[in-house]
Amino acid sequence: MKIATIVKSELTDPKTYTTHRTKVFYHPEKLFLSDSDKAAVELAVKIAGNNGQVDLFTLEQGEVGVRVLHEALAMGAASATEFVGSDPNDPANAYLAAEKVSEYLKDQGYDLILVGDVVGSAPIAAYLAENLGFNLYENVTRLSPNWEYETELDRGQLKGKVQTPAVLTVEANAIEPELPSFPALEAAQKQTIKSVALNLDTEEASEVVVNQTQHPHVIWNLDEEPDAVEKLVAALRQDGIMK
Amino acid sequence: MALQYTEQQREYIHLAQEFGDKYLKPELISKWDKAGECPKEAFNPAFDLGLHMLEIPKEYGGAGLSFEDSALVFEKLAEYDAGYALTLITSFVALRCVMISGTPDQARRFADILKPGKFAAFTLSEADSGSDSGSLRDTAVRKGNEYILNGEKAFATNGGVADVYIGVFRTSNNGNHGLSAFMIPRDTPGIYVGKHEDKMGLRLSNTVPLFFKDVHVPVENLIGKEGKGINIALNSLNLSRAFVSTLTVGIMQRALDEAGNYAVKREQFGQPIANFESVQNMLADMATSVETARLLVNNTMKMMDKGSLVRKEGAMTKLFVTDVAQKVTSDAVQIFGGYGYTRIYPVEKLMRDVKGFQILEGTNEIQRMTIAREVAKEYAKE
Amino acid sequence: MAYFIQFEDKSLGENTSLATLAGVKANFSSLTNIVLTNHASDLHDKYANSGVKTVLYQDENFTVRDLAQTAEFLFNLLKNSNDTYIFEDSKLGNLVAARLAAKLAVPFIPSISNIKVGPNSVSLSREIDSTKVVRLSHLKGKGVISVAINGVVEKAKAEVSEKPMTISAEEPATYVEKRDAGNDLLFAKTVVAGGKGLQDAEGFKPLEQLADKLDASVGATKAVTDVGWLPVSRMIGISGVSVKPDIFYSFGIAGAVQHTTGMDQSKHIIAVNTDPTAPIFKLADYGIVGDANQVIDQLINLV
Repeated sequence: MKIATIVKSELTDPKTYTTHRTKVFYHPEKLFLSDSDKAAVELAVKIAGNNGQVDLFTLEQGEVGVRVLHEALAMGAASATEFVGSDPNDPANAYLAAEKVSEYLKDQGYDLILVGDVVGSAPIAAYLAENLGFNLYENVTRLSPNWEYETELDRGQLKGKVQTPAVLTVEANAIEPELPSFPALEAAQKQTIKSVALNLDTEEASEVVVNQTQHPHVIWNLDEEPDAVEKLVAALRQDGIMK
Repeated sequence: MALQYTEQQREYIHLAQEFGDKYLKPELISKWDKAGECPKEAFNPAFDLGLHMLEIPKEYGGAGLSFEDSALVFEKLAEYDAGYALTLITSFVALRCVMISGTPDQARRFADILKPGKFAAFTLSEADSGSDSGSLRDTAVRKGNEYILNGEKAFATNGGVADVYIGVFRTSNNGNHGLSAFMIPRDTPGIYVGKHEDKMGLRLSNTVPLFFKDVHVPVENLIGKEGKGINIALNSLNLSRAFVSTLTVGIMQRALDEAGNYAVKREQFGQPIANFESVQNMLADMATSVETARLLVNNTMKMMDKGSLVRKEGAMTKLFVTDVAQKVTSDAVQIFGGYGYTRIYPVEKLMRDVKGFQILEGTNEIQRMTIAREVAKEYAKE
Repeated sequence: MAYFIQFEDKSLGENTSLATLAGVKANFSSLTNIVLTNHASDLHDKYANSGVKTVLYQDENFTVRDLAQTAEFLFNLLKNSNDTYIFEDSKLGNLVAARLAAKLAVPFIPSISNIKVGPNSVSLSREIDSTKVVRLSHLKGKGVISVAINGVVEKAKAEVSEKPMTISAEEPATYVEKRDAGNDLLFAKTVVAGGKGLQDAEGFKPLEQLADKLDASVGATKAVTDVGWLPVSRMIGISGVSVKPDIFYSFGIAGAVQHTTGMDQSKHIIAVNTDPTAPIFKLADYGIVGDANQVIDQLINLV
């Protein structure tokens, strides 16, 4: 079985973005491989076994791209490729990036494409499945050896059987990944990473800006202001918290 | 952060952090600290990751990291527990010593014991002979193709958990020059492990007396030459005190993190205590100490990677880092106030743990002697 | 023009809330509510009072368990229009939204918490986890979005029509409800929580009445569930459940850290307590120092 896994980072430290007035500072050194991508890589390596192969891809750029590929390579994947020229967190042009990625993956004979379900990233799985004509299974929290899957919904699960070729998005709890060893990480750092330019034909891009919705902090005293509750309701309506 | 990490170092440190988050959870550390020992199984994940042979070259089955990179990994681990980290370090420092002073065959045999997940220990001190190694009494007497070892060793780090020891014994009455080092498999008949010491801190690290009663060791296990035991011991100390310094930085960083997080949350007189100048001064000094200590250790590790002996620099590093760490951890307790004095918060443990580092691997008094001697040499007239 | 798309599948517990529809309506002046369902006849009344023009697409074979077919139907329905298609930011909403966007080959911008409709584009902000920044995207043409926006449901007459759709009864995935799915507290967009400050079990009756009015779930502190005023499943905090609603009302709760760890991620926090130094006020966007029971009664009358 030939498996592609598309990995990315995950924001776990709120200080990845800091702000000063209206300026935003980005600290990519705080970003590492996401938990759900670790689950995806672990699943991929397990499914591939001794006869299969797991190839890694990322849409992350620069140091973050290299880092997540190193981390994922150390878990047992065979090769690593970075797609250069897009932003994996930007939903505005994810469909264009997915189109290029699909073109690249199309004739390579993959049976399975695994993608971690990372909060805050731009979803690409559905586009890949559509472009490649693969089946799509999302929010997968379990995948048994006989291909029974569970898709997580808010109050329940969908259960069924995966038909390959397929694109799966994997949740962090789908499998408990083992930590890679230091020798494996050291070897991964020496592995060559292939670069593929996406050449996106777009000027559409989202921007990261300071959140202007500031939380008010207003406390009334009911003894001093008998109409405090009216004032509260008025303020909530004003802020759109209550409409 | 003042120290500029390479991309590789960031990845190593992150893996160490993932390891700590997963296997060294606060409730476990607290439990083991109270019990005064860490179960052997708790090290299995560390063996899987190769932490027990992190600095050892690949051809011996290690991970092949540089001293500098290894130090950053162990600094991070020491944020979780320095005793746990010390257990791993002690093993690869012993192996490194065999690699430096022994034959390739000895190094390979030693490495093969450790590789599947075993510990090593270095044992030198005796009850009446600590800093003064010239007064060591335990003897090794050659008989045919064997040495017969007799005596009692004190305060052997890893002594109770190790599968192989390096022991320094007296082969002639020539003070420091009558000492020789041996590689001693734990299962050799005649070795008895004494009671685990009930220590103030570093309680996850195993410390025992070892008893040697007519222990037969083949001559192939003599490391280096007869009478060179003191050099091997000093080599070992050069390495271990550098790593002790890195563990100390980890403890200091943890103390700073704990105190900083607490100071911005804890309110007195209607505002966070971090707003008070007295607390600010403490935090500023703590943060400065952590940075300078880290840079000092980093520089020493870089020198070691270049093959330098760091006799003076290593001593200076250990002296400075472990001394300032006493104030840093004590101030962390101070910032926590009454809570800091209890075991609800981890800061009292940091203070207990870090005290040990002023004492072991050569007391700081001995470090000063070493530095003074090296300095005097530099200014001595030809 | 914008479409809000939702599902009413009587075999699933995953339906869209009216509060989200109300929130979307406040942002788009011209909005059509599309409901795919297998029990349209039960829904006329519900949407007739929603204030939004609603089209019910009915087929008794319809089920969202068949995600592919659901997306295919929507694609055929919408492929020739040039609009914004809005789903709820729920797991199900996002699954269908992503598939529809892929079929239409247009952007899908998920988890939007703030919308500004301009003359040539729609500006969409998505909060980036717990940071102080947002990601701002501009949708210029056709696109799919999912929203986490709440509004208060105001009763207003609206036109409801019913149309047939054709769905083939294929063998879709099976649906299994989670064991704790009955605990609406976990999924609530609005939570009203009470503490010991409500004095006694009787104090929770008005709180439940208020919850009804706000379409909210009722939560409590450990102290309250310990004495049995509410079942343990309502306990919020370190030993109970953690909630992250859009709006959290806290009544008679001092705000010990054991409780606040279970609610401090809420988007808006409103606190009422007699003690002005209570830690809960530190977290609050708005607060009233005063008797919680009195404030609850007044709120019931005002909302």
